[in-house]
Amino acid sequence: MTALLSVEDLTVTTSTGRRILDGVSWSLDAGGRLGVVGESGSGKSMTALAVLGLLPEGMRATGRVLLDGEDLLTLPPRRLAKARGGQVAMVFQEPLTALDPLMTVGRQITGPLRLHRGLRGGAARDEAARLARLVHLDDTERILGSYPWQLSGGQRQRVALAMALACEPRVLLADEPTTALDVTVQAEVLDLLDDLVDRTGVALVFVTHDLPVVARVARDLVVMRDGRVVEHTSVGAALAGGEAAYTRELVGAARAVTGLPTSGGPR
Amino acid sequence: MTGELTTTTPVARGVEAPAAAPGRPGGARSRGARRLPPSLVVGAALVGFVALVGLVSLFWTPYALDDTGTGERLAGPSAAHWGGTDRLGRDLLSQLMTGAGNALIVAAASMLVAGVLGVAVGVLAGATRRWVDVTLLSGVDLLIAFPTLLLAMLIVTVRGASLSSAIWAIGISGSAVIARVTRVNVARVLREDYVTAAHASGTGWWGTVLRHVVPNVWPTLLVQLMLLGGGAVLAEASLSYLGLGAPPPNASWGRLLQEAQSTMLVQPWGAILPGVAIVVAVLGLNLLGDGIRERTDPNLRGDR
Repeated sequence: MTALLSVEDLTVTTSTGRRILDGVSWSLDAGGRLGVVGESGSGKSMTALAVLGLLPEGMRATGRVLLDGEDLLTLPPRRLAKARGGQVAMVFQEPLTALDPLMTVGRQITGPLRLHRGLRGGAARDEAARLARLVHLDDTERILGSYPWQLSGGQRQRVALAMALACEPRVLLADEPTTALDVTVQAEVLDLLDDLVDRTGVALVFVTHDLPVVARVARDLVVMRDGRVVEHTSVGAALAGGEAAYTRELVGAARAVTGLPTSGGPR
Repeated sequence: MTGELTTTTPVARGVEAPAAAPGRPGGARSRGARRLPPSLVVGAALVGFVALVGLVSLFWTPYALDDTGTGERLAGPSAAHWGGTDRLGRDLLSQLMTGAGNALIVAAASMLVAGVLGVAVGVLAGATRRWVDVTLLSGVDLLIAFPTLLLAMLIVTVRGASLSSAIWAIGISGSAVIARVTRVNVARVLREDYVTAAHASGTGWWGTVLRHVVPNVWPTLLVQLMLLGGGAVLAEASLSYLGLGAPPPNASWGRLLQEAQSTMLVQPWGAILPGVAIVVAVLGLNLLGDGIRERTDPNLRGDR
């Protein structure tokens, strides 16, 4: 089976010549679930941003990011804009700052619908309501008419998920989507994400520093450190004791403080 | 008018705010019901009054501007001439009213010129490449250092003295400040996560600027534009005082002052009335700007 999204030798350099990512390679099959873990500063978020060409100004990416054999890094801006959101969507860490404070949630969800699916007016509103129900935002009418700061953290992240899934993307990049939430809400959002991936068949890239979380949602695992991939393996193999010493260290540390299971993967 | 309405609502709001008002989102309600800052009310009233007088003057003034009437010159206020007459026997009130219209036309049009020019330059500088930013900002610095009056003289030399010359001069020099403010705020908003999120969902550069950046920058700009409007009324008065504004028989507060200067001891109303008019208009616009800032600036709001 050929990979849906594959990152090959991705290297990101700052304007001062420092390498933030160094030869990162991994691949994701259609419907796959890939966890990207590492400590802060290991380059895991940067990888997600680089896939969509969203690097901060002054940074340069080399290598290849192949989506269905098409290199996103060399795609002309128009086609790249179509792929963003339409093919590959992203959910961010802090749902409050990732939503425009001056725009109602409903308008923010209909934005991508208009852009990629050409839905307008009533059709867009109906679809937004359907998406809100999809992410279990009950009391749909009220939520769609609210501003982000009127919602709770969990609700906001559900809104962000609804926006990301609005255009039926094939890949969902989730950059620490539960880190900013408290533990109970985190569990709810994880369950939802799990369920959504199952139902929509979207391939998931889940970036986190939290091994127990990744053990819950991911099937494959990429362990990163200092901008390099330490190990690319399955979650089960990593939990059973990965090949790289660093993976074993991470797993051991996580096990010492949390109830990390000895074998993993989605239930 | 809303002053009376709102005095009763804070009590009701205090009761229902924790329950987050069923139906519509609670915040949108409390936002509308919050007591308006006094500066906003007073400013709006003053500007509204001047605007109303100016509007009326477009259709009707007690006397025609070039009507020297019965020839009673430099008269004080009377039943026939509420504001008195000038040295040619023309009705002062009529001239003041027309002056109000002209002052506000110049203020509004130069705010428009400054807004369009300044926002365009500011967005380009804040949102594009570094060298564009540096180039545009050097131009803006140059413009800020260039005196408005000198620019106005330059424009009048080229185009002749008229209202539109005054508008261009004031608008262009005002655009420098607007460009500065726009650039800073655009750069700030562009670093926000929701802009990255918009890019991630495939929104193009212009789409992001129009959908997210402009609305988030707008409140700050509106305040700046209002303050600019106050400055514009003053600048228009200065220009017409120097004879660089609208030529006679069109009236302007600045020229009324200049004409009354030599006869101030004989008929002081000729100088006092246009002076008071200028103060009222400038004060009104400044208060309006302050009021808008108080209402929109999250740092001055207690509820966020």
